[in-house]
Amino acid sequence: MVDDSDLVAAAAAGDRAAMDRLLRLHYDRVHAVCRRVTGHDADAADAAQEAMISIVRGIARFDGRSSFATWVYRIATNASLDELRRRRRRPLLAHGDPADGEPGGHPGNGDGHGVAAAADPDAGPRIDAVADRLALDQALRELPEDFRVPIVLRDVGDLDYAEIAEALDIPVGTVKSRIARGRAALAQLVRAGLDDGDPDRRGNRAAPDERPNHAP
Amino acid sequence: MTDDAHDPSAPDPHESALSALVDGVATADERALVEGSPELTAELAGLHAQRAALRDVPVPAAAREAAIAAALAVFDELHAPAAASADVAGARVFALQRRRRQYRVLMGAAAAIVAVVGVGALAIGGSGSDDSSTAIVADEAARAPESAKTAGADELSAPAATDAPAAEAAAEAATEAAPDDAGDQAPAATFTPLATIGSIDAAGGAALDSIESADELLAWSQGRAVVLAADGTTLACVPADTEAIGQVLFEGRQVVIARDPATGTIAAYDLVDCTLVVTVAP
Repeated sequence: MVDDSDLVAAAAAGDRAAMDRLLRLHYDRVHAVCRRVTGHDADAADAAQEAMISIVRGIARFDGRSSFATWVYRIATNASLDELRRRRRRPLLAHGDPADGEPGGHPGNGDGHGVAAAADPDAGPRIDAVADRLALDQALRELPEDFRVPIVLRDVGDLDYAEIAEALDIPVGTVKSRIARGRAALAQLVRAGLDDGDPDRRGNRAAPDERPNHAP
Repeated sequence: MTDDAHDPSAPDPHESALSALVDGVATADERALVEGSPELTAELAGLHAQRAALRDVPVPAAAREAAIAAALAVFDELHAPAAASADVAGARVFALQRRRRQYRVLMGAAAAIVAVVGVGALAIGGSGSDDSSTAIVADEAARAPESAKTAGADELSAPAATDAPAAEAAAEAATEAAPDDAGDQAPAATFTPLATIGSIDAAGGAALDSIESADELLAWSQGRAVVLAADGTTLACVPADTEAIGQVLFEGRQVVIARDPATGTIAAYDLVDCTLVVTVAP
């Protein structure tokens, strides 16, 4: 992680170039966190933009008690969770907007790959890759928020356990537990999704975990 | 995220060992446990692949540039209002916002209908909905036509005091950030967050109640109705299992106030980063 302290100080003092640089340094991973928490491309773009704006508005009050990255990902996480809450209240038609690249009426991933895959059934490896992505998206959606968010902050945001604990206001032990349980549950959900979508793939994929009680 | 109700009582030792190895924090015992089992070794490989897949998120360049332009437009408003027009002339952030804008217009129209129906219902002595997840407080409903009109006007023009495209883009960005940011540093001309709610002044939050203690906050919260943001959603920072009852200045910080309907506990969250500022039980 780049040491942001000089940029943060400059941006807080009104240096536009420093602010621009900070935003660019963090946007991609903020977007990735938003994408994995919301499970939806358009919501991720909205949440990431709102996170960027919140960073600008709040940077003068950032006190350095946590790392800048921790603060940024806490903002990104809250923006994503807010976006999820908005989505639950939003009329369904809002998610069928073709301008978002989403097939109308498809509840989902926002990648728009389902149509492409169906139209090109011979592209085996590509379909497998798409299926993997769809299965991962679906599995993440099925994973409870309490498990999904710590995993995303660890695996996508690269925060350590203590930083995640601070960002989510939960004990470090709970973070470790949720990540461990969540990863196992996610793996099972992905496998289940792939098996449901294509039974022929069962056996092609390592399925070492047959132990019961993995799902939280 | 503070509810441990879903937490398992104790993690499976295999899961703990695998996860610790993925994170590079495994003990010697955990490493030996996994390396001694072909099954667990295969599972570890799967978890590494899963982690790599999670990190593989393509970033749309257009979304990145729109987000940064919108944020910098806000930055310009905060730090260099006079230079905003020149600096952000190209900051057109409309494409990304089109969907939500359309939604807001729809919600404005719906709110207007609700207001008309609500007034009619009150006139004949009927009672409103008690559903706290969707209800709009009465005085907000009464203002709904105004908010619908405002939302529509926002789509078409920048605030009267500014007419440059850049200022329009900045206003748009500020408007889109409305439910989450509600910044107390935002200029009055472009402040729209939560403008239809209770005591909040649309001219910049200056009329927010100022509260200096938890006891005062508890007293303030008594009898408060549930409120929603101007677009009909819950307020930013409010946990899903609580209900928003308003916004105040608490010890100088702009906070949103949430009430736990089960316990009556009142909590205040900073509107910049949603950190918990204070809780007070009745």
